[in-house]
Amino acid sequence: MSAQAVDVDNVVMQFGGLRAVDGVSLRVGVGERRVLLGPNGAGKTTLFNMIGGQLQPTSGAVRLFGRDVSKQNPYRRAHDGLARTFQITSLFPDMTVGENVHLAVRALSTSRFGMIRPAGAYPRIAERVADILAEWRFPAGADTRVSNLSYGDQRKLELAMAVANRPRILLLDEPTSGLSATETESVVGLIKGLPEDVTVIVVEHDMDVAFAVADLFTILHNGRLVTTGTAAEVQANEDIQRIYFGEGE
Amino acid sequence: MAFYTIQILNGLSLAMLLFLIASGLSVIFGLMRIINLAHGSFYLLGGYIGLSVLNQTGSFWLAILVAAALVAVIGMVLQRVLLERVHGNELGQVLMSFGVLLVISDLALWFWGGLPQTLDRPDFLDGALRFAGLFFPKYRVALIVCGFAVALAIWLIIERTRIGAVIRAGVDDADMVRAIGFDIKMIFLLVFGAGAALAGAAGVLGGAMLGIYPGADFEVVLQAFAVVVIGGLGSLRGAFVGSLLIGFSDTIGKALLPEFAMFTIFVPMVAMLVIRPEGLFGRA
Repeated sequence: MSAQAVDVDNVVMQFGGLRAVDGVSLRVGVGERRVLLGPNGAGKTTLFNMIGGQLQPTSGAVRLFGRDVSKQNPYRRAHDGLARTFQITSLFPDMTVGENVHLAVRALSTSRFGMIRPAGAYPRIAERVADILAEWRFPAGADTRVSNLSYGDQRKLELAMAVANRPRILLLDEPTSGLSATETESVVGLIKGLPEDVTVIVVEHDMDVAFAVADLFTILHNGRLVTTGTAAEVQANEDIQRIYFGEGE
Repeated sequence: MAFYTIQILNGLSLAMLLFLIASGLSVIFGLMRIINLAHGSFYLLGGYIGLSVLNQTGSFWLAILVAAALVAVIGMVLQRVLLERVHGNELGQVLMSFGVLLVISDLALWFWGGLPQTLDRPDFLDGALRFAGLFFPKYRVALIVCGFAVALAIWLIIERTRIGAVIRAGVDDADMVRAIGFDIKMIFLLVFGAGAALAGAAGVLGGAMLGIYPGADFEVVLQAFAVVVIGGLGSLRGAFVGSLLIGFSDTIGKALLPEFAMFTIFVPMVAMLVIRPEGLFGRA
């Protein structure tokens, strides 16, 4: 039996009196595309933060490729092939597009020496940065400060940085929130174009986007997992109707 | 004429001393969101350790080196053992670091005594330069040159090197830096150590100019915080400009209105908080 890419085992996240995630188990296979659905406050982002390492579960375990990482720092998990984006755009606004990509590439480059050398002094990294910039094409140019980039391009840059080191697991937290229809379409295209062996988990509110990028859907509600199923199953499920559209109104 | 040139020189040298202390405080604050009142203790300890080394060996340079190294280690232990526990808890940080300031202050009093002491300057920096009929104390001129050199070096490190880029990114968004795969805790520790080392070295340099005495830690940390508030959190440029402003307003204030000495530091700070709370170069 091959290990799952992501294996969340009965995790609980307690914030004071609030149980944000209450005993959720989730298995996502290698190369699978999964969308987490659920209303605000369902615990989607908290679950994401436990997989990404920003939070450590109160109880339960998170395993990546069969290895327990529950107590590992986010940066260790990044070195193990996990990348993520955040719900709120998280870039370095005072740096240029190129510098942002450079940082992302450099983060996982193995050299622990030469931290004092000039940032441009590593030809291999510079090459990889140039490749990424060519592949993703930012119309404003690599020397534009991120704070001057359009919102759509900022989200695109986040995605470019997340995949810069060819992660094996990619977590995307509402990648299309705040985007126009055309921008959304282009991000959906980018997600669908990711290499097949990359495991992708997406938190998404937009049903059209969700159905476009994934085959399996997991519904969370009030910190619990309601069900996992295909698009047809999810659409037919009465619990989900109730969660999204209220009870018998 | 002589009065003004000497005041300008005094203002500049005090500003450079303040910059050595405040630059570390500001970058640490910007990167880790740690309010560290014990930064003043780093200055005090640096001064006293320098004094002991100087008395033992007679070498001013060794005094600076040993003070910077020991204070860096003390700072890193403090960060790892105590301050990390109150991460994200401002009140906890203020109380804990103030407690540390008091404890170190008393330990220093116990160990080095309560009399003000002065570190002997290297011989070649004693006396004054004569230029255009005016006298310039050599030590202060050297301190100013040294301050500018350190400012340039820090700027180059932050703006031009790999670790500098990571530090700048961390000031923007530490979580993101961690998520893309940098060991941010190690970077925190290094930056904290470097900031402590600078303050420790400043203790030696300042001790040879102003003397070292119980209470110097409080004085310095107040002035350094005024600098950081004026310059803006996390901004090196802000720390530099803020140091100049505070250095001059303190010097000129003490020369012209000695009875309002504290006033002249805190008026600019309060004015800044009212007009532009994020400081000159800080982000809102």
